[in-house]
Amino acid sequence: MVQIDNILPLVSKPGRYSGGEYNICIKDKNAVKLRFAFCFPDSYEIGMSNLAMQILYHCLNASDDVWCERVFAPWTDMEAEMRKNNIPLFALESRDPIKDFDIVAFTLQYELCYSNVLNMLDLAGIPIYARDRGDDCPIIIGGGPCSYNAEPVAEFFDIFSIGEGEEALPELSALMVEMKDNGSYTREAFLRRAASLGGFYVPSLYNVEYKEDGTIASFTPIFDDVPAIVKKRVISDFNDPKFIPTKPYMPFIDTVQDRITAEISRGCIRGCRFCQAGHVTRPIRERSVDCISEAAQKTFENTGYSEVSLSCLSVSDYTKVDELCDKLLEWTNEKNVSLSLPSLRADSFTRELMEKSGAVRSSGLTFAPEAGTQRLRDVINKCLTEEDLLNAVRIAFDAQKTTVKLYFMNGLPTETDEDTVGIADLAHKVIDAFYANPNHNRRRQPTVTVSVACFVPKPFTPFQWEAQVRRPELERRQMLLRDSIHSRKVRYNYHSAEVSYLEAVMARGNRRLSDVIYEAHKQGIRFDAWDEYFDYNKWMECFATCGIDPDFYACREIPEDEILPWDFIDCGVSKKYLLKERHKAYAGDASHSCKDGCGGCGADKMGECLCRSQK
Amino acid sequence: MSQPKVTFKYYLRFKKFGTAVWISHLDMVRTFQRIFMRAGISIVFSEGFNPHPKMVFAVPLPLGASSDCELLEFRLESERDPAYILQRLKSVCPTGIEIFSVELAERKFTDICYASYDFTFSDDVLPAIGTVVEHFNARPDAVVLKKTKSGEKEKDIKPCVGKVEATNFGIRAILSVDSENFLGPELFMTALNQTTEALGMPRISPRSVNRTSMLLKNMISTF
Repeated sequence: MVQIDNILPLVSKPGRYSGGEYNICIKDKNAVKLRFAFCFPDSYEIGMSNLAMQILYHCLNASDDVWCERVFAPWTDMEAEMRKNNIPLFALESRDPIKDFDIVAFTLQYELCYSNVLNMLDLAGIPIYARDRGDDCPIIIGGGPCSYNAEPVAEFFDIFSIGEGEEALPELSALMVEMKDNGSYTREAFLRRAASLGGFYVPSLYNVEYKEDGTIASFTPIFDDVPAIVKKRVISDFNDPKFIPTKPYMPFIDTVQDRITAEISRGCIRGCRFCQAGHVTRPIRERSVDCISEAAQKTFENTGYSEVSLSCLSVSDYTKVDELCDKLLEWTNEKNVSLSLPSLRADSFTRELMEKSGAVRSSGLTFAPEAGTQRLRDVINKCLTEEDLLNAVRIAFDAQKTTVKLYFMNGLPTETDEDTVGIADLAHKVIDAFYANPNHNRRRQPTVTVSVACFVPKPFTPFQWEAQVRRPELERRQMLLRDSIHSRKVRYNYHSAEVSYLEAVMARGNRRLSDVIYEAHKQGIRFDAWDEYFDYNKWMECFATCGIDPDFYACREIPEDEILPWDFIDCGVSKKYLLKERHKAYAGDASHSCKDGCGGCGADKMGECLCRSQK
Repeated sequence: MSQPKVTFKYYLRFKKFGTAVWISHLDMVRTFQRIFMRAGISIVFSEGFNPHPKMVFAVPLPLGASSDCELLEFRLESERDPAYILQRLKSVCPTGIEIFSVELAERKFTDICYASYDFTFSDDVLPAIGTVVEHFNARPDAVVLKKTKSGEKEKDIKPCVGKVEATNFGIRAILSVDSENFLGPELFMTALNQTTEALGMPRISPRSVNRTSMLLKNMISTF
């Protein structure tokens, strides 16, 4: 156990490191067989808000043999104190150094956390490269969205868990307990058996050959018993209450999400062509109304939270959304608990939904048209019309709302200046819709906030082959949009093209990037997801030092017959389907939603999908 | 206009220690709102656009300090047995928050004039404490910079010091907590370190600070 009481008074927000939060899991370390450190490679506030970590903490601690504890990236002031006082990275529950744990897992939620992973390993005193770790070192696991192409960090991890971890991680833990119990455990033997457990990718068991141009020539397992294709895991029963954490740990300090998060579905019926989450989380499954409501009510009793937030990719696409809201409102109203429905789609937005949700109290609503013209929305398969959006804002304005937030993307495939200017036009039309409504709010003026991200081509999307538009051109389009906005009632903000560029490099990177990330770590790079720490020039120097051209990963249109670094992963959705969708995009054809019949993406082979049960 | 509601006022006493000392004052408010919610005790909400459970802490406690004598006031719409409330609340508290009494409020928080604090120092500092305290007590004044809403202000905090004595663990100090003359343990330490500086000694800082009692005007009777 490390001593931190003397340094806690010296750092900001000591509650990030103190532990002792309500509903955490404390076990007798002498009575458990496996110590599991679940690391979130970003600040406490971000990590404590993450639902996946909450779920897996719950599933792992369900076993008497395993004690799973939380670890977050210490903020820079704490890191400095820890280094000064030789305090290694420790787990919050026991304050034991994680280098003495059996398994250290990192959830990789976004590419910009990679530098933090290395820094945390370093702070823990664990060798950063997997090849430098011996039998006495913990096994380092990665999981989460980025594990669908974790090749850039492949050299640092022993295992990646692909897909849903609720059953996979306890199985892996059980395997380790078994091998340590019967004396057969060595790092090598364990990794070999883990590789054939299903859903686990062990990078050291695959050999990558490159062509002279830097593209992949072959990607093959080293041994015959190692699967050539790693199939992602999908849980056996999405409605099984044992997967739902109803005693979530609760932070004392203010965090991003500090409320009951009720997960209502996985997968998305829409298939927006830029969206990775919408594809890799298929098959589409919905939790039953009763299951959701019971779990949420139990969670309320165990937490005392005053808000329930529904969580999934698109709340209003949940088949029985009205019934669900009514069921929840039966008890939430009485307990003074509010209900919030984030991620509403403009085309399924109704006055009833708005009134049921906590949106009644707030002054505005948020929608994501993603593109400025119908043509481009068809290309990206965001099947939302201008009329849908204007209808939705009319409902909102009629209900005296005054603020609307609109999310868009810049640099989408086939985008022209007309599409960019179209974003401004749409924003102006929303303002016009406000004044056209005779019943609009007379006390406050309308505000439309236009928030524009840069398109990042992501693995396992129909746009995985696309080139990212180069930075100067992206920035020109950002300025074009700025100059096209004439109304002072429209607020405009946009993402940094530099950050999006690094994201694109990492998202489609291969193993050769590991050395660049290591170099970045050596240069002190960390907390890339934070504006105040992101240093573009420093990153570019690291690429130069390693002789790697980042444009190769971000700005190159990948030929359709090229071997992709992530081709060996089966996420359910087939490459054939992604290609078909890509070609439809270029033809300007939208695809119907899975509710209107199966689109043949292939994910249904992983389990029952909503598209089959619907018709 | 609706009639003002008749409500019942209670005091709750609790200890704060261990990891809970790192819960700030603001976070304590939220922590207690949730303790009440979990216990199924619905306390009176504030009126207005964004109603929230109404509660008042007697005297703020600085981050990092523990306490044996925290006090919280809350209201109920109907009278409940304090023993029942206590039992409900006790079962849903986080580690380091130990509620030991619930009572119907009969006095006013404004009766609290002083609080007593124990400052524990490490062994290497202890031998010097007697001299520091002696010199501090002999000072005619102790002017320090006090942060206020409108910036920093010089203030003589000597009149806010009730009593300071050296003990075998360090220092026991009785400090004023009434709103006009509030003196927290941190500012007290600043003033004390003016004395160490004058004596040519290094700065001292306690290993731990614990509030032991809330006192009435006579500095003897506890609230």
